[in-house]
Amino acid sequence: MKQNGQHEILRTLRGLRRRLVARDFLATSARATLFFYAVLVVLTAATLWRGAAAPNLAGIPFMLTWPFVFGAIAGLLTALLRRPALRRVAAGVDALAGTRDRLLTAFDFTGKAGATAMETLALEEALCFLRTRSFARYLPVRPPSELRWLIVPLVALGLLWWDALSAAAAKRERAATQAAEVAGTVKQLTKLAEQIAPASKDDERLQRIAERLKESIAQVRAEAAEGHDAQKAALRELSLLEELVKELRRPESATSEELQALADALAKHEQTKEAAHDLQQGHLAEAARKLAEAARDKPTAEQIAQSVRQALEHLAQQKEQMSKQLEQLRQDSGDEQQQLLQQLAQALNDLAQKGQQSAQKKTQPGEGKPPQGGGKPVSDDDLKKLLGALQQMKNEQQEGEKSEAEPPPDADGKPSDGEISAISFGKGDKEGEPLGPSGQPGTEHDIGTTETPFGKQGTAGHATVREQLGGKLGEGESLSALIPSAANGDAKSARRYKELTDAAAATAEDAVLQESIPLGSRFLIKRYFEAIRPKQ
Amino acid sequence: MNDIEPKIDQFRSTFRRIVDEMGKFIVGQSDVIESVLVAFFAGGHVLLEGVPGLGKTMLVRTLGEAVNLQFQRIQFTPDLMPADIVGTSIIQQDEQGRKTFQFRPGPVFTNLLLADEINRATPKTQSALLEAMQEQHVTVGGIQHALPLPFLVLATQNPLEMEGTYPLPEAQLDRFFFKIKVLFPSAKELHTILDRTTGGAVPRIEKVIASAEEVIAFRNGVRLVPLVREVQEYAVRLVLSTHPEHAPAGSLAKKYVRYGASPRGAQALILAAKIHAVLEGRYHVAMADIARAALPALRHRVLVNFEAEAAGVTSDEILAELLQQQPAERA
Repeated sequence: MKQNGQHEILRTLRGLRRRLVARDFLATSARATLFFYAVLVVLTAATLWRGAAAPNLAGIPFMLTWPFVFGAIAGLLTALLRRPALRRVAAGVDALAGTRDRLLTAFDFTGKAGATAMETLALEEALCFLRTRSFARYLPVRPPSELRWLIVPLVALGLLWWDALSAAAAKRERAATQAAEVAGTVKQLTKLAEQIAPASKDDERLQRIAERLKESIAQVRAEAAEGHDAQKAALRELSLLEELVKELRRPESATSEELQALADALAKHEQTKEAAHDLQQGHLAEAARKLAEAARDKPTAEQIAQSVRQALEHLAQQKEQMSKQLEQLRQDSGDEQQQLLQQLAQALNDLAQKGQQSAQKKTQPGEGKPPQGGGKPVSDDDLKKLLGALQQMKNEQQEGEKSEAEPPPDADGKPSDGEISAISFGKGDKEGEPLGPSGQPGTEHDIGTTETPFGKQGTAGHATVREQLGGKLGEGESLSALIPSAANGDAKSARRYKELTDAAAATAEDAVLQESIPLGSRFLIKRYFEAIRPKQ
Repeated sequence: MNDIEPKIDQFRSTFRRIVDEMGKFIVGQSDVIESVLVAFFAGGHVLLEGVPGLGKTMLVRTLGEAVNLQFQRIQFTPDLMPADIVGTSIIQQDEQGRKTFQFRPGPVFTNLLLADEINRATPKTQSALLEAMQEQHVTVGGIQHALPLPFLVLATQNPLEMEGTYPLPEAQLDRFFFKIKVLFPSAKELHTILDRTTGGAVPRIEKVIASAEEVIAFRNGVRLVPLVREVQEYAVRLVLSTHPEHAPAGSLAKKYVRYGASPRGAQALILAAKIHAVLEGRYHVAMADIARAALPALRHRVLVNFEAEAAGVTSDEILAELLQQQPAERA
């Protein structure tokens, strides 16, 4: 009887333990699956956020499967490790089923040797009771309720992948569009790089430009492939090229023409003839010393200064006339794009030829060097030309951007509101100021297409009501003289307006060249000086 | 082996018959009657607490009649002396003219002692019952006098906050197996009380138990009911949790308990649980039996502190929280 009872209670308890393990397995698996799905969501979100490519559609079922697999493995291991002892099973089922601890009592007394009569009686009573009960209903094996929460990570993953796929499609489309938009620029830059390449072997500056060109081409292509704004990238790269060329051009000194004009002016005076000779020979330090000695005599210094000023003004007038002629030529040209390309090609050919010539001169020692900048294989004018060409390309790129939203320029060739006018270079009479004349189309930092130092007269001048603001002259010392020249004759101006604007324009041009000013700000500066330009 | 089963069955039927007989006089209060009988068969003393007029004295007297045991009643008053309870030695002169001290037993020498309104006597007099309750004998004049068995004290007391009461000392409280609260009857029960007590018919109590030996046999029989270790652990855990310094103590216990239940409390839990198990037709003790006996067995053994009294927290509330924290069965 006792043996039968023992077998019976053990069989019952083992069956109940299997159900407990199965329930534990299902519940733990569900929780572990939820956890792994949460991990998958986080990883997917992080990967996509970091810019990874969209998932492969064929791989999605596999990705959705592994949390189930991992969850099942984790659940199985946990359920086996937590497999309860039969005594715990009995206590647990007693608590669940309200058996008044009969399972526990029966299990305890069946294995007990030398049980008392009362214990045997208790065992019999417990077994009789347990035979009438089915405990399976207290331990139902059914899908755990946690499984319903699987919908949350699944929906999250679906949304993430849908978003990634949509973004990838849009990116491909955008990349194609961007590549098409900058194809012309890339082609021109490529052509420019090819032209520079032969000459860059012997010239460090050209080599840097060539490398920069290659980098720019690669960058523009890469950004276009990424679907970024390739036009902006092209503009940025052109600006970088422009900055590079400007940087190479920066240690700039007076041109040979200007030095010649200065030497001629100094040669007119007996006291400065030796200085003029040294200047022509390229001995600048000696010339400066002798000039300083001659300047000790005040009347002589004034005469020398007068001569130098006249010489430089004459030179500036000549260059201005040359600039006008070139501008006229440019305006007469029917195909502006073709002209620019030709100009660029010419500039590059010149650069290449001069680079080769420089290399040949380096290999022939003993030959005379040029008086100033003799070690430079590429002249400053050449770099200016290249700079001008780059600037023109950049302007075209800007115009290309604006053309999507703005109407084309006027038919008479006047620049529209968004077009950049030129800032001309003023006459520098001090050391450190730019000595180069302004107004040469395509040779300046700006586009150089205006006939005056402040560009063409814009519409702002017509729209502005000219009004002289009333001011009160202070009692302090003033360097200016009052000239009644303003409107109605009752307002007063400290100096002639043109002189003021000339001085301000020179300062602004210098600042524009010396400082790293953003493109948009340059444009505003040009617009400003165009607006305040005196009426001719 | 099988001779135990009939005895247990007989005990069960006897218990039911006593309950039925007492029910002729006591309307309602079934839990009180059952608890008193559990304590009676477990060999413990009972403290009944309730306001006057709820039938406490009637309940004890009815029990005495139903079990056919000797019954005495002592009405405790402030001027009651210990000798009035245990008895005294008086000088007796025999026929030859010799004078000797002769012990005259007090009312404590009985099977069922009703100590009515026990908290109206002074502590000195209350303590006179200590030895009798625990040792089942009294000492007078250096001579021990054994009490008749079974000896059961059924004390009644008014709520402590009433005038002219002396609270029982902790040592005496601990000697009571159960402390049972007698509650006011419901309206329906009150109607029945009125019908029975204001009419002409007076019910007659039948004696269910023939002798004191039978009661002792029943007591010994129920003590044989086994329990597994887990059930005993539950009782131990429950008693330990009434101690504020013990880890499983509840928040109320930690805050409001001055002293927890004594080992006598654990004994009372187990013995009462065994009787409850037998009454339910089982031959083993379950945790539910322990939980059922917890309140009457432990409520007077859990001594609350001043803070609890100020906050109106009773030991019943503390025990209820402990039982909730350690349920015998899941809902």
